[in-house]
Amino acid sequence: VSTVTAQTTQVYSVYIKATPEQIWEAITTPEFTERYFHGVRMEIRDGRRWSTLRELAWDEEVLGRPAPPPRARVDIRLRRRPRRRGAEPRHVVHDRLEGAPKTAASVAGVGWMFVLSNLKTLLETGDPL
Amino acid sequence: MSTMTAQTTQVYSIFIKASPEQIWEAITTPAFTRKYFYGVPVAITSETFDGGASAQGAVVEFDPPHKLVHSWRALYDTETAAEPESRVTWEIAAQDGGVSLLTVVHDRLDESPKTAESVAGGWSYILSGLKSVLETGEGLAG
Repeated sequence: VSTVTAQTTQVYSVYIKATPEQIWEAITTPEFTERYFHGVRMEIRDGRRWSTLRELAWDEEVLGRPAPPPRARVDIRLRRRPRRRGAEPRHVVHDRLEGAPKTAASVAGVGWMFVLSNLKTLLETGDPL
Repeated sequence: MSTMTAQTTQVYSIFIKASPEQIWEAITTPAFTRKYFYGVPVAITSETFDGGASAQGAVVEFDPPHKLVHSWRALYDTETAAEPESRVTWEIAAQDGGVSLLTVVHDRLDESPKTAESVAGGWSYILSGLKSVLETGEGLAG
């Protein structure tokens, strides 16, 4: 989508007709995430996020290298916006990508937006894209 | 939303369960735009982008249902109205499974910092609303 070098801090936003609680559940429940996040089951356990794609190891599959670069951080922020009734903005910030240029390029552009678009459709219509 | 300086080239994308023709109609039909473009009926022809007192522009490329390019002057604020025109490009690309990718690029904002700042949060809201209207029949505020 772009020829510029992928940014080391990437911000993606989408407004979803759902409560913050519903969105949080969709982000943290494996049965939910596998329906919109490329089939990946994700859960929060012991303060970490664990991802599995069938029997595959997520990091090895995606990064394709024996020694992964410094772990990037994905920061998901939710806040209520009473001005726009019924529409909750969801922001995903993917940063600390300075030491991970391949990851930055991989997720840049439409990658995160596909996930967010799919999440929005799932919450608003009951079915993913 | 952000403390960074607004970028002079801004890119927004969204995947929508709709055909390129349906998305084109939603972008160019006033009765449709009212549901997601902050209530503004926007009339678009091959020559003009007419958003009434909100925004105006000249259409420079009109290729339904794939590409629309027009100039942009935001009139809802006296400071943005006084800045040079910027440019908005809409591109629609069919994907697999009845899904389309809509991308909006707002650029030529180098001399228009107030406009750049003003539209930075707005496009995400507009595209989210457009997607909701097409997929559920209702806008975000409905």
